[in-house]
Amino acid sequence: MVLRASTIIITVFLISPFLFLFVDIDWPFIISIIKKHWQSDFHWTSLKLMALVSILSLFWAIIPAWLIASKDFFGRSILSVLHLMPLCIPAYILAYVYDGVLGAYGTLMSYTGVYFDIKNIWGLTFVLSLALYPYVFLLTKISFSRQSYDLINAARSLRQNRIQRFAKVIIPLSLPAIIGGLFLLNMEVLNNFGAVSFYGLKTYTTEIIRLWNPMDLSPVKYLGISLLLLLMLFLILDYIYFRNKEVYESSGANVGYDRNKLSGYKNWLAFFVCLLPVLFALVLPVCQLLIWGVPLFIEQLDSGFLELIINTLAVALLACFVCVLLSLFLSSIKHMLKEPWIDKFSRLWGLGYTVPGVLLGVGILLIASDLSKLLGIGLSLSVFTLAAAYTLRFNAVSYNALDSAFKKFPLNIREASYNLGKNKHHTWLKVDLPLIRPSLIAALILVFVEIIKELPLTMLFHHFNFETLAIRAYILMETDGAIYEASVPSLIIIFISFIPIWYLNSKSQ
Amino acid sequence: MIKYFLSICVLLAYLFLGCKGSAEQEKAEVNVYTHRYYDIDKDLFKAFEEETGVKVNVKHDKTDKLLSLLKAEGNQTQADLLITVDAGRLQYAREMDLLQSFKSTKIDSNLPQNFRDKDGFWMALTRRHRVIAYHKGRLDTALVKNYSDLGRQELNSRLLIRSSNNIYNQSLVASLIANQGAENAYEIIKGWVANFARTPKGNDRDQVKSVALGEGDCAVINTYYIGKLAFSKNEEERKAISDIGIIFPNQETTGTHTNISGAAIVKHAPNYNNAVLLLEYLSSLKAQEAYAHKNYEFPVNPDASLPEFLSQWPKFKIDSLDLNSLGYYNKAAVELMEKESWF
Repeated sequence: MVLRASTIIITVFLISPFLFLFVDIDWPFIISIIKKHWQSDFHWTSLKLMALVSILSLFWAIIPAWLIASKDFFGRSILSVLHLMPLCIPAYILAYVYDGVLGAYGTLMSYTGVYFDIKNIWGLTFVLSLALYPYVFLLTKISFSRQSYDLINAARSLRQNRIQRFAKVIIPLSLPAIIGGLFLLNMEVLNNFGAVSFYGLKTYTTEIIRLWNPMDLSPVKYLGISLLLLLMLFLILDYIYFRNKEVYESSGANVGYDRNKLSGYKNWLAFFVCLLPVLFALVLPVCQLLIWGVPLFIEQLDSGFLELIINTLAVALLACFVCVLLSLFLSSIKHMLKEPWIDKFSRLWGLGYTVPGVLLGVGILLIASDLSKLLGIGLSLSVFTLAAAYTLRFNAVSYNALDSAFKKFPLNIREASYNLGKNKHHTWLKVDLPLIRPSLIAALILVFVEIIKELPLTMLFHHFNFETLAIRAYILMETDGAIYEASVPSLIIIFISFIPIWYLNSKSQ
Repeated sequence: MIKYFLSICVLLAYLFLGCKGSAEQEKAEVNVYTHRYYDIDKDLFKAFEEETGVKVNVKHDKTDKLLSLLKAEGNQTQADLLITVDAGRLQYAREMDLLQSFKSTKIDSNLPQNFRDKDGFWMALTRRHRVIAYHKGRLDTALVKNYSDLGRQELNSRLLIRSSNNIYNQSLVASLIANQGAENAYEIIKGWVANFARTPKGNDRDQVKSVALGEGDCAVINTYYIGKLAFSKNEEERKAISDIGIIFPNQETTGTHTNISGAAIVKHAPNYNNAVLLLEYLSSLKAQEAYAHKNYEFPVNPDASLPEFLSQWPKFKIDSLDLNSLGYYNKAAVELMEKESWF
């Protein structure tokens, strides 16, 4: 009973910012607003940007993922880690760096006198795809490496050539993973404010900020509702597409490729194809940041900076522990009780991650304003407020990691424990927990890396004198548009997330 | 594993509760919500701390978000001071019942009447003027005397200005409405939008750089950016400014548009006295000169000296419009800009 009640309470907590979007709305007004906004171009810019970034990200991700999963060539294992590292670089930093390299009065211009105006949709597509393709890469690579070798052999015996095998067997088998990756990527595209506004484009998130009027937040509310409608449309399409398709889960011994070694020019070609995205997404920007940052290190690294690092780590650790504990509770309840209503509820647990962070922030502010009117107690900013906001947003990340771990449990392992006379709690402690331990660590790391980069909620809910690295980097860039000043905190953000991702990858191998 | 996990959580919780507890005991502090991100603010707060022993705690964000936050916090807020980069938003804050009036003879003697709210709800920290930066070789200054001249046909595809979501532009348009009426203001904006050299993007600094690179011939920018570029650490930026001249518009009519960066005391401020103390300090000669010398903003204390760079500029007539009207007409301004699809 207690478990069920807490599940309901947690679910209400997780969706509360969205419930308040729907409180006191005037439907005729919302329809008129949606009509009005429908004519403005930010919908199409958002959709166009999502489509373009998806296409370019597939280009960066698919071939390297397949090569790394199925072939052996020079530098394969190191490249496989390096492809995850762009996750450590916040997209807004990448956007500023590329403008600093290619744009007016940038590095390129100082050497050659030539500059490129990349502040347009094409430049933004380039930058965002580099920052976000690892989401597609990661899921696709995992799926490729778990493909059944039997099916590919069958295709081979049916005289399907290499390209046919790739297009007709390998890709379709991995389609759920690719779409899953693209979904995450597009959520991030919609969420982005820093890079998009710096490149002068209008999307849902920049419009939410633009129409943010403290006297009257209703336009923002309505924008949020129309965005939720759009997301629902995507989810319905996704549901319709996959409804009648059995996802082929391979099992048995013939899983994964026995990677054949490439030689000669093929070896080097594979190496360069895999190196290309890493070069643009990681090596080049980090080198540029180092060139700007190294002379500034001594000037900026004082005791205040140490405090900044401690703040960042402290709040990230606190929030990711809370997040993972909550997700552990939710996923355990779901898989232990196996009750249909919990299954339905579980679809709501990830809502915070599917909308832009700014909208979540508005939701929290709206609840707090209403509560403050009702009870006379307003929001109070502390590290806990920030941790709660992060939990609302990133619970989905840790929950999905744990949920998929529970799904992979051998079917009868719990029954075996029950038959041995152990009760549910004991089984949970002795069977479930040890089995999902690796996923717990993975969930901690994934949430940690997300929090270190997070900007909109951090800006809104941090308390006095509690700057984090992300805030410092953003403020330094915002003040004067002087990206080189921001290179030190940016480098530290990248470095701090590097280590856990490296660890995670080495564990998984 | 789970044991470690739990003990770390408990430890972290204690750690933060401890931090919070100790912070609440300390009374010699003032908490500031500010839209200003400049180094000069940090320096001034530090100097204030040294002089008075009162600690200044800061949280940065855009004013609109800070106002929503203040509303959500209600009487729980820790914030004492609100600092904005626009007069209109101070008026908004007052309308939202987030401010309280304050009285200080020191501030009254430091600042002239037009840079203090007549009801005592806010005071100005610095003033900024929205001027026209132009390329000395490519623009005939005889063409542009007033803001309305930026809509002349001769300037087709030659005008650069940042996006309409920028508060400086919103307040400029609000002042046009206040001074010349909505219809005239609309005609002026229509002319501007027709002359845009490109879709608005980047900040004021970027507009000047784009003029230097030839993407347009004139740009609407705030005065202090000229100083910032002229004394930039980046050599290219210093070079860019050398070909740029400034026009102070509307000299024969209403005067050049004037906006302020201003400060107000939050309604539920827990440290009212310290907040007044900080405001008095910021209006003092020393602080006002620092704003001018380090950040190239114009001081609002008439006794403060200007740095050589600013004192070389010709004396110009400034718009004497009541600054609260920038807030009154903000909504109308945003609507006009939207109507003309100013991006």
